[in-house]
Amino acid sequence: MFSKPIFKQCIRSHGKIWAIFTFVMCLILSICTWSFDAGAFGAVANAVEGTAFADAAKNFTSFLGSLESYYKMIAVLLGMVYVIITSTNLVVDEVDSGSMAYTLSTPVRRSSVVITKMIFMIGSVILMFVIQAGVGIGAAELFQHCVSDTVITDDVKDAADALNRKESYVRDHLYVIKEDENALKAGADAREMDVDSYSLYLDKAMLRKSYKAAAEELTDMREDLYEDDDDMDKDDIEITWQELEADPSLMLDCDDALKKGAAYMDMTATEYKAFIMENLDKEAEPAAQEPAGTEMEGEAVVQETEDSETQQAPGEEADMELMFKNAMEAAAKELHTDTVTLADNMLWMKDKDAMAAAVRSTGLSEETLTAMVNESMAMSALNEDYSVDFDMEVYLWLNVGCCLLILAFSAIGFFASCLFNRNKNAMTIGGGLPFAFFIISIIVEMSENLENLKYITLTTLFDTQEILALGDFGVGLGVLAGIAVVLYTAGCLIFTKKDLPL
Amino acid sequence: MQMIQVDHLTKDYGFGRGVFDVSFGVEQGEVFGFLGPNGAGKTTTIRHIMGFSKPQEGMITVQGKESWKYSAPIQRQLGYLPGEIAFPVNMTGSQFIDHMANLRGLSDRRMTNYLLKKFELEPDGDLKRMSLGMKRKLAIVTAFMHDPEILVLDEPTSGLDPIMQERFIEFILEEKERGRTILLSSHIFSEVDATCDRIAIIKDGILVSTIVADTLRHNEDKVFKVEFDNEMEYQKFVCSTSLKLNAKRPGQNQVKVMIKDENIHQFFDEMSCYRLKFISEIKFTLEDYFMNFYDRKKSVEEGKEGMLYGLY
Repeated sequence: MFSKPIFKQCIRSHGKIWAIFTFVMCLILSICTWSFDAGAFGAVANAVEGTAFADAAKNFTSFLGSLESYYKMIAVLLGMVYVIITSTNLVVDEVDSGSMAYTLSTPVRRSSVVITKMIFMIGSVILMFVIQAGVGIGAAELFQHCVSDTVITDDVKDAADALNRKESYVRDHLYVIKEDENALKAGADAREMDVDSYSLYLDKAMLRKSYKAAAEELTDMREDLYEDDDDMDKDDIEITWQELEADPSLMLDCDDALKKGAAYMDMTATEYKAFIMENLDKEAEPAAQEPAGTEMEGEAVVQETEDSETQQAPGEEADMELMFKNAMEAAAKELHTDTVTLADNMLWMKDKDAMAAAVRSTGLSEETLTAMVNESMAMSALNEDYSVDFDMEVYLWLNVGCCLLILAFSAIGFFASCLFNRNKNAMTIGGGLPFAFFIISIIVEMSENLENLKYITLTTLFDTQEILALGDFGVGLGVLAGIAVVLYTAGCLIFTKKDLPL
Repeated sequence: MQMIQVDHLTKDYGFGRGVFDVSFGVEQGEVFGFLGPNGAGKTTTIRHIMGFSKPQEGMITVQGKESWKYSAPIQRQLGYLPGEIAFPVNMTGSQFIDHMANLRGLSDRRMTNYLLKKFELEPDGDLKRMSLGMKRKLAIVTAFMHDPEILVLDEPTSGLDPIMQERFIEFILEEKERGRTILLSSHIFSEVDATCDRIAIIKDGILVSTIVADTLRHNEDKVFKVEFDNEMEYQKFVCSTSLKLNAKRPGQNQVKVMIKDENIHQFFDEMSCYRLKFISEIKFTLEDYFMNFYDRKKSVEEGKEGMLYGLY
């Protein structure tokens, strides 16, 4: 069923082209990884937060988002060209040229010939993606330091310098920066922030780290707890840090989680627990005030602003956002720039004239506005960290998905290669079809009117958006794998049974 | 024993192309010539013997095994030299030889080395840069490196220079000496004439005739062309003769007479009574015989008639 000499010949005649394509893929992937700018992302993500573009922007510019566009476009295109060339060369070229006659004039069975070639085709594609995934992970670690652990950001580096401590120690104990004035200054400079906003960022970052550690501990614990429970699948057991951030009370009963979380905050577990409970109380406060606000309704005109603020929490948030936008517009005008540039350089808001203009325009106090600016800068910095968050599971699924799509394409090419005796016929079907799918996927991407076209292209089955969200992408990938299995099997059967014009 | 048995093979490619009800057998130790013009169906027949195509009707066996079903095991004892030279890409000659040896599971390289020496081939070069002659030699080496019992050769000498053609014919005769069975397809008369014991002629996909080469080479029937001095002599001869006349041409006072070797005296006795311009023998060779079939304009029946009555 497998012929070593034929496999060797496949490697000899197609190894070079395989190596070239693999190299180019890895090169482009490395460049994508290297050129990703976390800082730029943070600003954009912050600017569009709460708007309709938030989701799109998140995928577009986060680190994994930029890798997603690589896998959706470049990897698919390069992989497709490789499989079209190779699948045609492997079978139909040898039949058309007649060199298959030499192979078949030896005691090697026709089925062994075609199966060996199929194994080479499939194996080369899989190996290509394995190498690519490896290079991608390596490049992400090398250029963005985001695989092995949390990134060592520039501010941590500079602060560690100022403190004369190890970078990794500072990264895991951010509070030491806060305790040292020089380190705080160095870190803030590295982030292009001022000390106030930077320490606010540090608070948030520490809290997030503590949530992450606690969430991990909680998940471990629950895994032990539900080990034998078949009803609970992985997603139900796992508690992500986002879930914990939304509801910190989840960890109040788990001492180990509290301990892990507390370590990042320079607290004991008890202190940490108290801190969390305090936060919870604070959050509950506006809700408790709500009925009071309703009672006061219509009592005094002077209090109206205050009332509307307290009446409904989401409305309040939106109002504040609107006001902040007004403030930014006023400040931008004062500084003779536009809001986008200002958003990138939020520190300018603290300029005396700009602040004065903002105060005039919104009627808010300078303290409130400064707090808002600080908050905005801290969130922006936090988003920057988040953007390079490297979810290994997502990344591996991107690779698996893209690999399956290319395998399905290769199956089309291989099938055509087995079916036809003439090179150009096989090229028309085996090359034309995948290429058409690819073109359609681009058209669908570009024009909303033609969205229905997505039902006639295989590329839709490789749903990168769903993979990024770790959502419902399994069926599509399963169908791709099914197509590959069916077409490869059919191709092999046809080749062993057909008349060869040799 | 029949080494190759083609039994009522039919394969219709449409448009009158293909082979139709072809039957012949090749005995062990025999060199069997398969002769026909381009496009007559020689390669199609060989394609079926090799098991590359499945017969529409009929059956082919090689050493008793059905060629379509058992194509792979049959190749152990069969050496095939394709008519078209199309090697795999990206290989040197030596690599190709190694590759073929590996495919055959061959470790004994004596025959390979013998063939390389016989055909004076230096295989260390890129296949793409080889001349047609070199490629042809390389194909010969790889086809017979495993010293097969049966040799199937599809137009083997095209592309070889006359010296190498001679060398190849020598090789075939050597193999014949060693008792190998050989099927030689060709449209070149000389190589068939030099090697074959029996010859099948195929035209337009139909097997016209199978003949034993020696019977043609030593044909006992001779045809003479006789021209008489005048019309009176001609008429007298035509009316009175008991000899077999193949053709009469009153305008030229000519007749064609067919004489068996044993009757040659009777013929000359009779002729001595007439005033003649000349007598000449119409040489009837294997080549004429084939040429008659090669002419695509003539139908099969006309060809057979020509064989009976001489050509001119």
